This record gives sequence, C-alpha cells and structure tokens, in this order.
Amino acid sequence: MSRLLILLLGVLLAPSLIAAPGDVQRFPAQGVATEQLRIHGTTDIEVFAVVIADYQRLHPGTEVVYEDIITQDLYARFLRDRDTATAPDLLISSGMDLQTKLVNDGHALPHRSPQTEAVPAWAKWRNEAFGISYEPVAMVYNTRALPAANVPHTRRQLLDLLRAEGTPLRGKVGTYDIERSSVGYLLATQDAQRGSIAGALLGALGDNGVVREERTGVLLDQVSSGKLSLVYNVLGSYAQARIDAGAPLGIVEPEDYTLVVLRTAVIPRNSPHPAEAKRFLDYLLSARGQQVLSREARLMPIIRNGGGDSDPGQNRRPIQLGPGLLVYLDALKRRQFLDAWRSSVEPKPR
Amino acid sequence: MATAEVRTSGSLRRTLMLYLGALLAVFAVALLFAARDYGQRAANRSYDHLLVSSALSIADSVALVDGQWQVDLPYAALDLLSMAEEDRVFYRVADSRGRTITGYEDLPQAPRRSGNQPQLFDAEYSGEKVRFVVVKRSFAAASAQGEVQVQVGQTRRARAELAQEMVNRALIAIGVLSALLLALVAFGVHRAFRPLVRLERELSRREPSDLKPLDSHVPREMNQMVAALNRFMERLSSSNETLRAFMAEAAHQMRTPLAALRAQAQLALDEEEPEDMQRSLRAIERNATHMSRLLNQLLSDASVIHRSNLQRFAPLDLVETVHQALHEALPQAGPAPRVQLAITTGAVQVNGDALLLREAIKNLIDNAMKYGGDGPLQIALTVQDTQAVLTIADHGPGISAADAERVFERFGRGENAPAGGAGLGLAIVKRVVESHGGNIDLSNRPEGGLVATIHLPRHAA
Repeated sequence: MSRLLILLLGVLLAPSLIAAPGDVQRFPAQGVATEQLRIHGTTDIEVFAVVIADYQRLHPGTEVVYEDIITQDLYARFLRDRDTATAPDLLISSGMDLQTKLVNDGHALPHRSPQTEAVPAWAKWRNEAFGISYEPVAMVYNTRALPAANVPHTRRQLLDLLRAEGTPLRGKVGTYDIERSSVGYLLATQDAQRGSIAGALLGALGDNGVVREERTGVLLDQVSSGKLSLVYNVLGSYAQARIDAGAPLGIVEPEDYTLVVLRTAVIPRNSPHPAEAKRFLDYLLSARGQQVLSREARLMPIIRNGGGDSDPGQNRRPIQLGPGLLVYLDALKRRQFLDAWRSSVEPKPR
Repeated sequence: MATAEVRTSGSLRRTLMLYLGALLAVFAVALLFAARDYGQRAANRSYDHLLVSSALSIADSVALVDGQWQVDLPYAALDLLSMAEEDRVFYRVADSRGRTITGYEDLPQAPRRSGNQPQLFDAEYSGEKVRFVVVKRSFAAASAQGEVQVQVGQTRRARAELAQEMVNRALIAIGVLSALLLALVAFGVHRAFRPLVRLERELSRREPSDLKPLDSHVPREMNQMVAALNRFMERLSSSNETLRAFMAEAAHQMRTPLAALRAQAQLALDEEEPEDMQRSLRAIERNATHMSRLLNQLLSDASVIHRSNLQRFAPLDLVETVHQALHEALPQAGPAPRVQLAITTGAVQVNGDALLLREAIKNLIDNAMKYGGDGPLQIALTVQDTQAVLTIADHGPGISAADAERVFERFGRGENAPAGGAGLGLAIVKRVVESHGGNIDLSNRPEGGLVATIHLPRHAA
C-alpha cells in the first residue's frame, strides 16, 4: 500500500524522478535547416520515422527531432520541460486521458485549418486535441495454442473460457499491468465504465493467475512464443505487424464492444515553433499523411478517402475525448480503482 | 392656368415616417437588449443545472471513513458536463478548513459565503472566464464531524454559443418584425394621405371658373382646411360676381351719355343756325364733362378697391387728414363756401391709409357742397372711447329712408339727386371706411339737412 502510494506520488508530483531520457532521433534537414520541430511521441521511432521522412520530402528545410517516450513520462516531461529550450512543439500520444488533461488545464494551442475541419467530431476536442489515427483494442491469441472453435468472440465467451472445466487458460492469459501502463489503465477504466461484466471478468482473470506486463511488445512476444495463449485488451495494430511478420497470432475484436483508442496530437501553448507544429499536424491529417500512416506505419487513418465522418465500425466504441476522461485521473479515484483492481487480479490467499 | 411655385417646408410623409421609424428602431433595440439578457440568463440556467448536479453528485460521493475523507469521483459527474462539448472542467473538494482533498488546488474563491444553497459565480481561471458552483455538505459521524465544500467550474464557451444562438434567432425575428411594421407604417401613412391626394386631384381637374365648394369627404383633421378653402372660394366667387356686375353697370352707365352725345352731335350737324349749333355743342360739352367725371370716379373706385385690398396701413393723425381733405375739396377759385369746423384738440390717431381716408372725406365734403343747400358746412371730429367720430352736416334736403341704403351702392343715386353725379362717391366712401374697420351712416337732421357720421377705430397707442 505505502509502496504504491510513493509510486503514485512519484508519478504525479515528482516527474523528474521517473522521467528517464527516452530514445531520441534527429532527422536532419535535407538542405539548409530553416525550420525546427520537436516531437514527443509514444509511437516507436521506427514506425514514425517513415512519416517524418515523407514530411521532409515535402518540406526539406525542416529539421525534426523525435523523442519516443512512454505515455506517463510524456505528460510528466511536458509539465517539467515546458518552459525550457527542449520544450516540445507537438505531443503525439495514445494516452487520451493525459492529453485531455493537458487540454483541460489550458496547456494546448487551438488550431483550425481545412485539414482539422475534416477530422470527425468524435475524434477531436476544442480544436486543441486531434485524433490522427485510431487503434481498436483486441484480444490476441496464439493460433497453435487455441483451436479456432475455442476462440472467444465476446467478453462473455472469454469469461466462460476462463471458468471452463479444466481451466485451460490458467497461467496462460495476460493483460496490461495498469499500475505501470497508462494505456492499460485507460482501457481498464473504460471497461469498468461500460460493462457490468468487467468486474466478473477481472475476477476470473485473477483466478487464472493473469500475467501482468507494462509493454504491449512483451505481452505479444509471450503469446507468439506460446508462453501465453491469449492476451486481453491490447492494441491490435502491434499484433497485425507481427502476423505480417509470420507470427502465429490471431486478432479478435470483441463483438459486444470493441474499444478504440485514438492517437492524439496536441500542440502545446508554449511550443517554440507553433507554426511548424501546425504545418506538421496539417500534414498528418492530410490525405497523403493519412495514407502514409496507414500503409507505411500501419496505423489506422482517422480520415478515410480524404474527408467526411468516417465510421469507426459497427461494434467499435471510440473512447470520447472530454472531461469524462479526467475522472479516473483524480488521485483518490485512481488509488481506489487500483486497489479494487489489484484485489481482483492478485492471487487470493487460499 | 399658370402653375405657381409652391415653397415646401419639409414633407409630412417624411416626418411621419421618420418619427414612426425612430420609434420602431428604439423598440427594436430595446427588444434586442432584452433578447440578449434573456439569452444569457437562459443559457446560464440550462447549463447551471448541469453544473449544480455535477457538484451535488460529487458531494454525494464524499465519505468520512475513520476520520479520513474519501472521494469516489463519479464518472457521470464530469461526463455530464461534456454536454457542453467544447468546455473545460475544473473541480475541487475541500474540507472546512479550506484544505484541498482532491482536485484543482488553486481554484478561485467564491466571492462571499452564503447559506447552504449552491452558490454560482463567474471568475477568471486558466486564462478563461469560468462559471463556478460551490456546494457544501455537512457530515456528522460518531467519531468526527465536518463539512466539505465541492467546487465545480466550467468554461463558458457553450453558454456563450447558446446565448449567441438565441440572440441571433431573436435578431432574425426582430428584423422580420421590424420590416413588417415598417411596411405597415408606410402603408398606413400612404392611406392617411389619400384624402389629401384625392383633394389635390379634384382641385386640379376643375375648370378655372368652377368655384363651387369642395364636396369630397375628408377626414376630421382636414375639415378646417377644406372649410377655409371653401370659404375662400366663396369669397373669390362673390368678388368675381361683383366685378362682373360692376363692369356691366359701368358699360351701361357709359352707354347712355355716349348715346346722348351722338344724338346731340347729329343734331348739331343738322343745325343751321349758329345759336342752335352752339346750344347743341354746349350740351355735348356738358355730357362729355359728365362722362369724364364718371370715368374719373370709376378709376378712383378701382384704385380704392386696389388700395384697400392691399391694406398698407400705418398710424396717422385723422385731424391732419381732415384738414388736407377740406383744403383739396374747396374750390381754388370763386367764392369760398362757409365751413364750420369743430375739431377736438390734439391728434386723433388711427391706423389707416392716409390717401384713401383723404379721398373718402373729400368725397363727403364734395357731396355736402354739391347738395347741401345754402347753409354753412359743419365738420366735427370727436373721440368716443376707442372710436374717432367724424360728422359732416349740411343744410340740404336730406334723403329719404329708402335712399339711405341705396346711395352706398354703386351707381345708386338718390331719387331727388340733381343730374351730374355718377353715383360712385358714397360707394367709395363706404368701401374705404369699411376696409378700415369702421362704419358710416347717413341721417337727416331734425332741423333739416343731412349728416354723414363715420366711426373709425382709434389706433391703440
């Protein structure tokens, strides 16, 4: 309890303690550098490098620095560094709740352009936070470990499988450790918010000794290797990349509802290069930028066919940007939620 | 008919439209202010409900467990506020000593403490104007007691939008209403002026000689004007009539002496004897003299009419005028007739035309000398209250009662009048006296002779 509290205080009050420098990559200008742009993102550099390279084909005079930081650190680093020389010009994160909080607390610069107007209403807030791509949250299973007939397609079926005779998934099921993973925390709170089945599911996961990990990659590695049979609530795009690479994985978007996480971009109010940040954002939302995001970076485009309100899909439920996301960021609320979650998933003393 | 240039001083229609339009504008502006006020209050009211609900639901989630405050922030509390899609949300839960339990620590304080009712206020926060509500909840547990204060704030973007939308709608309604009213006013003004237009058309369609009273129906406001116009036309018509009668009479009067002249000239041509011829020529000369005097009087009458119409009056001393008239009337040669003057001392001021008055008095003296017999001419000028009274008396035969009225008419001569008068003298006198606001009458004196009495109003000094 006290250990957790210290961790929590560390997260919220003393970001410098945990904000380790992430991976930084400099993309020098093609010619003479006339513009500069500093991006902090949660997307892997390898993935985002393609996008930056394409942008530099259009604007060769821009030198781009991309820093890959995990969600929680991105938020904390911003608050710490926002008045220094290394303050970011653009924050791109799938931590929708933290991005929302930045906007709510008045740290964001509004931006309006034909490109931002094309973003559907459900994917932006106040013209300050914009979804640039979205990712369905799925169950990923090992096709060798789990016969097709046994693959659950709804949360109810997953619950039944967890409670099935012979406990086939005992020790073989995993999910995010929401105490460490911001995205995991966001997904868990959304589940709790949406369905009455979430509590039962959590209990069943705990009964089966669910494996908790901070990073998506680690979870997917364990499924690919057969150490785990199924992981619940992970970002589907990462799994798709592995399937393309030949991993024996299957993706199931739950049919009762599939959460959709938006990767959102926010231009900080005190961005050193706001004009360049707006130009880069406009590029990301342009037809060309969206195409590169989807084809090269394998991120799902927010704008299809160059405009219009794109429907995320029948069972897909995009997480709404807005004040609702602030609720679970409340320190007391978070503590209570984590306590309840932990008591569900941790092995019960028998 | 010559078109006279009419000087216009503004337009009734424009004046009416201007004032009614101004009234409309004032009305529209007042309405707009009312709409804005209403819009703001309505927008506040609808979103304040949400804000208060949110604060109350947060207050509801507060619990006192083992002397520790617990807040289980309800998801709906903040999600509710995303009804205002574009607005940011701030909240704070504090204990009675003002320590923050959870939420934003630096929210602005409520302006003053109030009772247990939710307190709503606007304050600047995070670079924007924010609507806040503060609600309080008291706890009384066995172990401890206290009070929590929940403050929830929301930026005003949706409120401003809603208010603006209401104002815009009101603006459209006010615009349409104003246009309709303006059209109605224009139509009403047009209708109101229709009788005037009709009157104008009726007048301009008339023959110049048609001076019949107007018979179109007019609104009450125009009654006076039309009545005045009718009276004016009546006067014009009667004056026309008088003129025509005068001309006929004058022509008739000239024809008789002319015919006599011609007859006597014929006679003279046939005469062989020089004495007879001379007699005829004398008769011709007499008639010519008579005609010449008639013409002179006609001219004098015309000039009197003209001058008395002009009414170029000025204060003058009647005493002086009487003296001048007497001087001019007395024959320059021959024996001077006897005259008795009884004139008040001091000046007698009247407002009038000296030339006309002199001419009138001269005429009366002439008459008196011509018909007045042998006795002395008696002229008296006295003052009675506001009147100046001039009497001219003679010792002639006087006139009959019937003549007393007739002699004032043109060419109306007394029955026993000797030949030689044209019958215009007294008509001229009457006209002059009446144009000065006075009156004249003739009467016979008991001791014989005629007295003419003129009353003229005195000039108020």
